[in-house]
Amino acid sequence: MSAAPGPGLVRVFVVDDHAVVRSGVRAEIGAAADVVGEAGDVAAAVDGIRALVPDVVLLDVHLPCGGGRAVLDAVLPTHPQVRFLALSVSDAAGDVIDVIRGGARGYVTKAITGPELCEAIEVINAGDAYFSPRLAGFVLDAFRGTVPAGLDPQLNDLTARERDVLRLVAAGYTYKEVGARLHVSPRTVETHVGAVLRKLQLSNRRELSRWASARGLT
Amino acid sequence: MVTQQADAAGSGGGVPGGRSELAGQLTRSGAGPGQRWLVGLGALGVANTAALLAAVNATPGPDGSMQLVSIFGQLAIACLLLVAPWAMLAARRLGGDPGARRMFGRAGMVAAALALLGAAQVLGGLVVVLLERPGAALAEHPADGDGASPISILGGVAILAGGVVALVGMVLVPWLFVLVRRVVRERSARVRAEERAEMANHLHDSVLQALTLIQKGADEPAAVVRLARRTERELRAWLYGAPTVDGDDLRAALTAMVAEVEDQFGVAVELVAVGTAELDSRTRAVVGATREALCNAAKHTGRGRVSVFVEVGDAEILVLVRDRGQGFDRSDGLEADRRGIAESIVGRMRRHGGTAEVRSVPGAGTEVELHMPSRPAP
Repeated sequence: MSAAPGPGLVRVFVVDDHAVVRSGVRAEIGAAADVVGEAGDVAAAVDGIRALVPDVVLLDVHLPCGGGRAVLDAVLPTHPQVRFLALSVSDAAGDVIDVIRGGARGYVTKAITGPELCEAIEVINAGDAYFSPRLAGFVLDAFRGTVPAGLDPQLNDLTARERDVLRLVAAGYTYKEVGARLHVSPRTVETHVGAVLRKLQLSNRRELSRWASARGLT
Repeated sequence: MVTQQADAAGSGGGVPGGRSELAGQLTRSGAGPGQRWLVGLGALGVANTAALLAAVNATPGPDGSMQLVSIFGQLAIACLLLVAPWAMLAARRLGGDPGARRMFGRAGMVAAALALLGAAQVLGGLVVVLLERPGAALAEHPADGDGASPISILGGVAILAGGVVALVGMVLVPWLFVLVRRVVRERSARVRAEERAEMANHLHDSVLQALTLIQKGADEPAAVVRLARRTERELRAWLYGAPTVDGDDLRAALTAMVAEVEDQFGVAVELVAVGTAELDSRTRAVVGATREALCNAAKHTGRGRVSVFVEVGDAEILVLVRDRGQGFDRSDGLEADRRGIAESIVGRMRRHGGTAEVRSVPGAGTEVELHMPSRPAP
């Protein structure tokens, strides 16, 4: 734990069943965030998060006894202000879609660099959504084709602008760079990504889950 | 002998009720200690049934109603002493299994319903016969003397049918259930063992080999990074990879190409692909141009990461290649690189009806954008 956390630092809680990963994450984000606690399983994570009420939780998708989804299901109903960023080695589409639909506001793989992780934490803490390039690709893939009849297009289709934004995010652009490319402000980009997150969580497109379970990208 | 049969008839009257009680017992799991007495009871049931059969056969010419009573009694005793202990044993064995419990409940209900139906049919038959020929049913011999009164045929068939169904429901179905479950368990155990062996093989071939090589070559960081990256890629493809239905589509070609470039230049390439298409001359051109852009990026990016995004849409195929390297000014770039971009990227795309755009900002990296129509221009 950092000796003297500066004021205004984001309070972060790390959940991962591998101690090596937890200390690695601590080292990478230690300068930019205040790691207030960590846990290695679902029960400890739920207790710790409820006791400390951190700003952002870095949540491993694969945890013993229920996985990251169990933590989301236990904490979010009582502490909706806590924001979750899923952090995983898994590229499996099913895992990604599951935690996002469970309430996580972002998804990054553990290959992410330290500065990128810090940026993601900042974005999540500001109440926005953070998509890794891979998640952006997943979303584009899952929302392909026209909206099935009988579904609300507001929730089950992406706008042309949202698709533009996701393409650039999938190509590795930061929100700032996306904004510059599309001649809009980074704030507008964040709004678009937030709208996509909402659709991802609320959409009842059957393709979403069927697609997610049917394949992963390599 | 007659007394015994009368006793049997007395208990036979309670068959429907007795059987539904049995169903209740079956749906409760693990009642009472020990199972040996149940086995003893079952054996007693077998002996009793055999004795009864012998007795019925030995009794000279029982009339219709007596025959009915004896069949009824036999069935009741067989059910109570033979089927019940066995079924309870099975129920106890499968006690923890909710599926088995449901099945026992259902079988018990079917059996009870059929027994009720059988009893009702017997009663109905009796009433019909009594109305048609009062006193005939209780007479010493049937009036027409053919030896088979309607009651005995009707009732006997009904009760036999009920008994057969009860036997099937209580004995054969649980037995089949246990058998099928055992077969399924054995098969899944075998599958698990095979999967485990395959995983061990795979880990040995890839991860273990790589770790050995890394230990030996620890003084060559570039080679170690390359090796680690390749191993990670292989392991990922193996763990999360889509089952390759079509091994030679655009996505597969891109994945293979990216792996080659990663190995050749020791850079990390993040490929995100949406949708796929068949490989033809145009999609091959897309792969070739992407490869050229990727090689350029790898040369200029140093140790950074290169991102590739490919989307196969209804109208066109879009490729974005992006690095965060030095960038270059096209006017004073290396001659070879200029030719590479002009020929291999722009020229190749144009020849197949597509377009290519290269934007590079010194110090901020390079981005290459390729467009190829999904269908050849008419």
